[in-house]
Amino acid sequence: MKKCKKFLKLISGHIDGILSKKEEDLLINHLTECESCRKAKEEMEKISKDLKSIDVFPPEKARIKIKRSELLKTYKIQISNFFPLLFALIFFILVFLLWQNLKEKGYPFCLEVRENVSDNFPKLIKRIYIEKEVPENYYIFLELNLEEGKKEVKLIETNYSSYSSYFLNKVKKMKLENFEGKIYYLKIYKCP
Amino acid sequence: MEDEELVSLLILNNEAAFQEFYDKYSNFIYKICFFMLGNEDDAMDSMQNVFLKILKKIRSFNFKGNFKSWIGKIAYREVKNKKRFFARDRKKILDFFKKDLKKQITPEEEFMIMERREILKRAILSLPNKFKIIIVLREIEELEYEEISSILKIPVGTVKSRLARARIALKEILEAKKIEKM
Repeated sequence: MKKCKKFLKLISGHIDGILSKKEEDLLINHLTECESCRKAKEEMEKISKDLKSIDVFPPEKARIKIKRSELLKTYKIQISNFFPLLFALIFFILVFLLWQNLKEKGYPFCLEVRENVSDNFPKLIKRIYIEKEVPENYYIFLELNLEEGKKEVKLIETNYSSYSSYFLNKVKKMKLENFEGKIYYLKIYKCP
Repeated sequence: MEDEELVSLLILNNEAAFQEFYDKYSNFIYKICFFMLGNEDDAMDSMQNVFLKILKKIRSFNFKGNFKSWIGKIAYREVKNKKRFFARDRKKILDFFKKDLKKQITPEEEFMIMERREILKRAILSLPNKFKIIIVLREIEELEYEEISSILKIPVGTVKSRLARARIALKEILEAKKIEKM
């Protein structure tokens, strides 16, 4: 059987007519002895012959689709569409990232500095935006004493005491060079 | 028209030359695409890509080489890349073909399958990829060993031995199917 395997491979060469004379003789000798190989040879020759008759034709629509001008059109579309699309994509990604950034680092809280809270129309001096996540209805009133060169911050009123220390520190660290020598009242609340 | 003339006309963007080129080589390209991919639609898509690539690369064709094997190389590369993308789909298609052969559902299909050519086609489609391409190139397209070796980028000796194994495999598949039918 092992021998037969070797001869089966030789049959392929025999079909194409590329065997050397020695190999050809060997094969013919074997074929006269071995019936199964003879059958295999006939079978393989028949297959090889039949395969030549196989014809697969491209469908007719291919002829319409594949034309020089059409192909070049698709090629141009490939190139011309690619870059604008890419730029649009990058632009949208950038806008999206920026929007996300603004959303996260937004300034939803206002710090209003007023001269005197007891007046009916306290004068608004400055409005600063602060980033801090606090409850929606949160507010805090602070008194900022800048008389005689000192800087004192006092808590007047708030509805959530847990956040007071954050805003007290924030106000202490603030640079307030233009407002000196007076008492100010500070209000922090959700921006309108 | 000779290949050299055809190529030089293609380089000059001649529309009529392209038509002639299509008539001459579309069958060859389609056969590679069809037998490697196993269905008509994918074969069509690939064939279109191959023609586009040939148009783009025609200037780089070396006039000393064989034009047909140059085309074969491009087609083979395209099909190989496509197969990588659609490996899963192809498996489904092959399974479908194999099932089809076993079940033989409708009488019409049975008649189709009974036809010798159809059997051979399906037998080729169920071969491993390595054997499939070599059978298509040698048996159907009747290319020379050297041309096949340049298309597949393998030595001539490998072409010979692979072809022998492919023929034996094809014979075994066909024999198995005969027994099934009985």
